Amino acid sequence: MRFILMDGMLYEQILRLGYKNLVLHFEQINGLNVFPVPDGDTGTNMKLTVGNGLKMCSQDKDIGKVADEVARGMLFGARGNSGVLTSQYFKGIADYLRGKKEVTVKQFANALVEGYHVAYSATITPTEGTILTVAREGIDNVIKKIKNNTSFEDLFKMVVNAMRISLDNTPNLLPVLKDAGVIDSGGKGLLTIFEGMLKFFTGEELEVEEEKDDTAHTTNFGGGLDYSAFNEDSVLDYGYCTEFLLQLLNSKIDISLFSIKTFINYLQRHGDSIVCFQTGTIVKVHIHTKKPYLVIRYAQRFGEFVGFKMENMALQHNEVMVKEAAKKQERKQYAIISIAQGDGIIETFKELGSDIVLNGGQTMNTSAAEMIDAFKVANADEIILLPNESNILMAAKQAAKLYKDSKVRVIETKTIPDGYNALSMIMGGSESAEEAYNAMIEAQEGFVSGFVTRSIRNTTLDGTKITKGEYITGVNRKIISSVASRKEAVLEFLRHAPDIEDREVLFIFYGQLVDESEVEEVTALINKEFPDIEVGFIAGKQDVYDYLLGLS
Amino acid sequence: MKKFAILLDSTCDMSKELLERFDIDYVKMGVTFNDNTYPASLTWDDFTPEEFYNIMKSGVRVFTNQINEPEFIEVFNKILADGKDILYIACSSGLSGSVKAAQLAAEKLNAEGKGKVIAVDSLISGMGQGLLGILASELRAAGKTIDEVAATIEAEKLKYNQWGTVADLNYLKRAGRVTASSAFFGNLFGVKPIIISDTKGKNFAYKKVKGRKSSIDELIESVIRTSVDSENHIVAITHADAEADALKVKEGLIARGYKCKEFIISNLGPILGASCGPQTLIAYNYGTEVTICGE
Repeated sequence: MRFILMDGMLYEQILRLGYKNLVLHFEQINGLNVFPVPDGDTGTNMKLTVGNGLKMCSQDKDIGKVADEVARGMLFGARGNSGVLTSQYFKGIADYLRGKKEVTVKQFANALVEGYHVAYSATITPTEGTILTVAREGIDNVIKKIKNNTSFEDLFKMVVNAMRISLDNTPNLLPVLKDAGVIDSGGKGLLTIFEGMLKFFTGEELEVEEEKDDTAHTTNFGGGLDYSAFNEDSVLDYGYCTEFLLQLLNSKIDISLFSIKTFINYLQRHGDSIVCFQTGTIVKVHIHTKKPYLVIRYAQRFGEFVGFKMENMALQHNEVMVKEAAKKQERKQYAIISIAQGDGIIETFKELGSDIVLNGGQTMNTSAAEMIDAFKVANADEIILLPNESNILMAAKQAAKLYKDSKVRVIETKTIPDGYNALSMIMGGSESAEEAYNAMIEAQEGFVSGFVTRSIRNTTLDGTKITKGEYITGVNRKIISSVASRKEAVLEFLRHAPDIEDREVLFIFYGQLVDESEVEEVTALINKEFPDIEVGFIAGKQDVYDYLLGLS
Repeated sequence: MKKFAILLDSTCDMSKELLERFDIDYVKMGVTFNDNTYPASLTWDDFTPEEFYNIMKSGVRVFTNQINEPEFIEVFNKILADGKDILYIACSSGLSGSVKAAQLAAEKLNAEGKGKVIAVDSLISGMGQGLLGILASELRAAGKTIDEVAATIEAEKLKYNQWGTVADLNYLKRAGRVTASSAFFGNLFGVKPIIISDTKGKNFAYKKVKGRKSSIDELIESVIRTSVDSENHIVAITHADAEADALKVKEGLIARGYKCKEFIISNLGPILGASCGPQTLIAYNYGTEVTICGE
């Protein structure tokens, strides 16, 4: 079939294939990460961002409406810089499609142009050789070839080809890519989406094992549920609130022999908060269970459902919690929200005065929506947000922009040590928001943060040759050494830190893989080589980074 | 005109020379460690400052004891028997219950008619309190009566500013004599609070700075910023086993063209030393009135 018009239904369908293609290839995209550390990955971030866009849109013929819903879902669900840029790209597309019910190929091409315009404007310093270049060249280099008889299939073919060429060229535009021997991961992610979209028109099927039913439509459950309350990292604590009406069937059992007591016994083994009674040949059941499939399978031995409703209670719970928290707390003058990973670090941040600490950061970049949830719970006139990870900074700013109920300011902390440093300077007590904000900004001047972690691949970065399995040391996120000994790697941080003569204090957050005796040995080594520096350490219990370091 | 004695107490950090020079005496509080109680002597009779701070550094806990009413009555009676009235400028009520005990003693003795005892709450401690004692002494030498001097001290006391920095927050935490949020004592590395004496006479950690060097700079800046009529007033710098840093403060002030009547550098006495710990550094100056309150 030849498509020359696109409506909301088609837009959603092709995007769904784009998403599926990301699901199939996200790990490959993650592997293109230039930084040889398993931190927030582009493939995962883009997959989750696009997935949230699909979650939030309805099935509607109106393309303007659908595009807006998709964009909104992506803006809120944006994770990582690549996710934020993707969300801005689709926002641009939505901006163009607004007010239109269906569009021609030419119009859609214009939407793709608007897409990259908005993505570029979202960055303070747009860098070429990234997703931005691929987005731009993907349409700019083909738009003139669009004729009146160009079909959508033709368009997507041209765009995909242009994107491929652009992507292959990214190492020539961005030296770090060349050094690492990879193409740009964000660009690859965008290409993957468009390749997926093309498959709709070429008739290719994509078989993807869905991790969960992540394409459910909000309209089926009525408004008000906060889907971001249960996400990829969540644990099923509460289970499902399951209610159904079961019509007992003669074809399945002898209804006169049906024992409601036996039925209830079974339910009690698999859940609680049970309400179960029989009226005539209908059995009404209400149960909270973590394994609904067992209950469903059992019930279907006796009949079939005439009504069925099931909800993840984490969402209900969160809703209730958010409302309760809002009720319980009087609106505060200001709240501090920070993002961290590692139980020890989270604990420390709370002690230092962070009202809420979001779990997230290096390994799973926090989404804008998750931050907004925290804003709601904080219930304050002013919020100061510390992202503590360079790859969350954009999402943090996006969340601050999207949230209208408080004045949200972002402190541009790019690492966990940055965040610790900022928080350590607040006074608490009667200090005002302005005073706290200024203290945190001032604290960052001259502060040096660093890390030690194991390299996951051989590569060259920032002029340093890195060997897989060795311990790499970063100073302000620039890798300056790769050595076999982890203890040595910590000393390398001090050896390469700027203005070492003026430094007085080093603190260390040590991670899951490091035990205290090693830290004590490291401290002794530091005391020998750098006697003027006071060393303090805290069990951070973080993943990924064996040592997080702060020098002031 | 009847003579009067000027009395301070162990928290005033005045050296033997200063006490003699200004004809001031002091009432002794007590320090307890290793199960022994010693009078908190400013002349370091039972141990030297080095010995004292080494004991603290080794982890031994040092407790401080205030002066109670019977002790005051005894001390006051002796002086009254000499035919002198008494002006007692006490350690801040925000830090010690001594002034309250003294006021009760004063009431009793005043009622007995043996002489006049006035107990003034200095709302400060350390050499801040010492400077008030010196002011009282100078006014006395100029012929003012006990009531006039007491009134002046009351009027001027909040103009004596304190700027302190400690090396280890744990001593303050244990002594419980600093107003600060609970987050304050968390795992802070390299962060030094600047401690002032607030309007209620309590030690208030009102600001944080990074590192010892910045703390010293902060002390210097604060003295310069708040001084009034500095040429006619003394700047006092006290330290707990950190003489080099005390000199840095003095040199820093001089380097910035600051002029004062006199620099006095002295050791932190055992009471303040026990509460603040070794390496404590405090500067005191006369100037703008303290308006910050920790609560």
